[in-house]
Amino acid sequence: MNTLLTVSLVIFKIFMNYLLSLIIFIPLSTLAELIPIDDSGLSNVDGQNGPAIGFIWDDVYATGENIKLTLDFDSGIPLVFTDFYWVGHDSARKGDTVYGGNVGSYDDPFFLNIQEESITLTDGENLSRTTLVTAFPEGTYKGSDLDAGKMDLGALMTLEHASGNTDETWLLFNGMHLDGTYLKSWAPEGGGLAMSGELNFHADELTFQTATVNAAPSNNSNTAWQITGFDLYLPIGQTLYQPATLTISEEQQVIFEIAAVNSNTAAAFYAAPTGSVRAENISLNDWNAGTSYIEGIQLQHLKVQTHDLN
Amino acid sequence: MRLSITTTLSIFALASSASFAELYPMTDIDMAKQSGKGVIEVSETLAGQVAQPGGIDVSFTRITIGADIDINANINRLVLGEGVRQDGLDNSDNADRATADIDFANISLGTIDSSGIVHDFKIVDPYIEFARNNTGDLIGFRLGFGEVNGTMGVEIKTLSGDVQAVGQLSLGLFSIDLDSSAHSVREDDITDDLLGLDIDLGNFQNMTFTGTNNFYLGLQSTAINYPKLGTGAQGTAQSGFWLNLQDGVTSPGLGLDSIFPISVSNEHPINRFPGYF
Repeated sequence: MNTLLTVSLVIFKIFMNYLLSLIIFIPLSTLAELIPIDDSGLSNVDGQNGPAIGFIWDDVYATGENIKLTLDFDSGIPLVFTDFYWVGHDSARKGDTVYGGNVGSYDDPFFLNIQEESITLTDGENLSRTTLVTAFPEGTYKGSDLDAGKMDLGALMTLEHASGNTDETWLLFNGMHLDGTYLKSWAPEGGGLAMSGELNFHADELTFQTATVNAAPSNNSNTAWQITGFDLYLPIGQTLYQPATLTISEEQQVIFEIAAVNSNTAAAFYAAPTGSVRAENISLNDWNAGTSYIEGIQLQHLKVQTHDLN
Repeated sequence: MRLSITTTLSIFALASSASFAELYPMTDIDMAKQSGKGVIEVSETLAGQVAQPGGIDVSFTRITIGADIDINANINRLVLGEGVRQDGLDNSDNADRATADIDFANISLGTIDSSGIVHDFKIVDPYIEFARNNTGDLIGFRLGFGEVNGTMGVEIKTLSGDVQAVGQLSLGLFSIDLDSSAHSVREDDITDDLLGLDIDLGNFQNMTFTGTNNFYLGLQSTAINYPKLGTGAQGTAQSGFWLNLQDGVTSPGLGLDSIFPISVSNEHPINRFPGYF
């Protein structure tokens, strides 16, 4: 077994102090109980490749109803995010009895490790790189095993209009998992942060709902947009030949770039998996927009640089 | 033995950062000088400011990201609104109607030239805009762009939307501009205003965008007039997925395939390295 250091945290009771976003991914502060694992249990844990720390979240649940994040723009219309919550069990919903759920298992733990990779390019050049890998379990969600790893996430955004009215927008992710999602990171020459990874997101149901304040928005309301069977798989750069970098310009603007493919790296690039998005069904009450999907996404170059709007 | 820990995780970064950067403390004064407010803008259009079909009240909230996006990408297939027709029709009468609102194949954004140079498709200031009725319920939203420039390759099988493109037909020593447009649900032809030709949309595989604005893709449960941005023309977005693309679009290099019936087409731009088509 490649694992040099593996720690499994069993029977977790985690209370999140805050949870800031979902796809924008920002949680969380946790209080956890650590229970030592015996040699027998330790030997069952595989840290994937190389030295690793693997752990699972067992019986995890959280709420963050006292969190408030306000974004106030030049326009004078603030966006206020509040009521973040996260519960670990697929059958739990906001307002229901909260059940804990699992993220990871002995066989497929959430893990951190150090990994070295190498590749030989078309012109014979050898590239190698050592990265810090952080990854969600690859096999937590196993088909119909609903208790194994799916969770609910949600947030409430309040928009205070210039007219004086206030609207609430609920964003709910029910029965979601990020299995197989990982990020590899390293420090590139010249500063900043370099990374590569894959985003692998599934949700049984996404709900997006707006309502005026005090209209008591609730799950499965007739005014909610619902997407059922949502899947997103998106490779983000590649460790050896197409790194993604995050830097800050002298003008204090954010620059995110996925390096361009070239003739020397094309063979590896075109052999790699492509991205895809699928929404099995989109509906609003009785109105239905059917199935939508995007297949075969290949980013040969991407550069996003922010600038101030006038 | 039991241990208690406090762990802070950042899932966006997936808790990582193998960087070896030095961090310096920031004073309150320095902190006060920092602002990201210019990058994101929230703006509103109140009910009644944009006349709506049927006279309904619709208000809009638009979130714009100040960003320059240079992208080169290929997408095998984009299908939106498959399996449901907003007009209630189906194919039970074997009419061979389109099965999706929008169905594009072999999409390429940008090009790769014969020297292996990657040319990007450029997008400025993307935005998302929400449309709400008078009770605050979301009835539609659109993803749009302040301006786009570059070359897009596409094989259009079905289109719902308002699209105008100038087809540049090469006829030996001279050329003809074909001002062509499609303005319907699940359209598969583009109509030339000059000659009255019905051209298969799939024949316009090379699109050049030059300062194109008012370009958006919307999804709405009922017909909506979105606020008009920029100089590009705009019609009413119909129920379902709807594309508006009516400004600064040309389809260059059209050739005459046949005279009876008359047919024109151009080739898909190259956006892969040689040997990997």
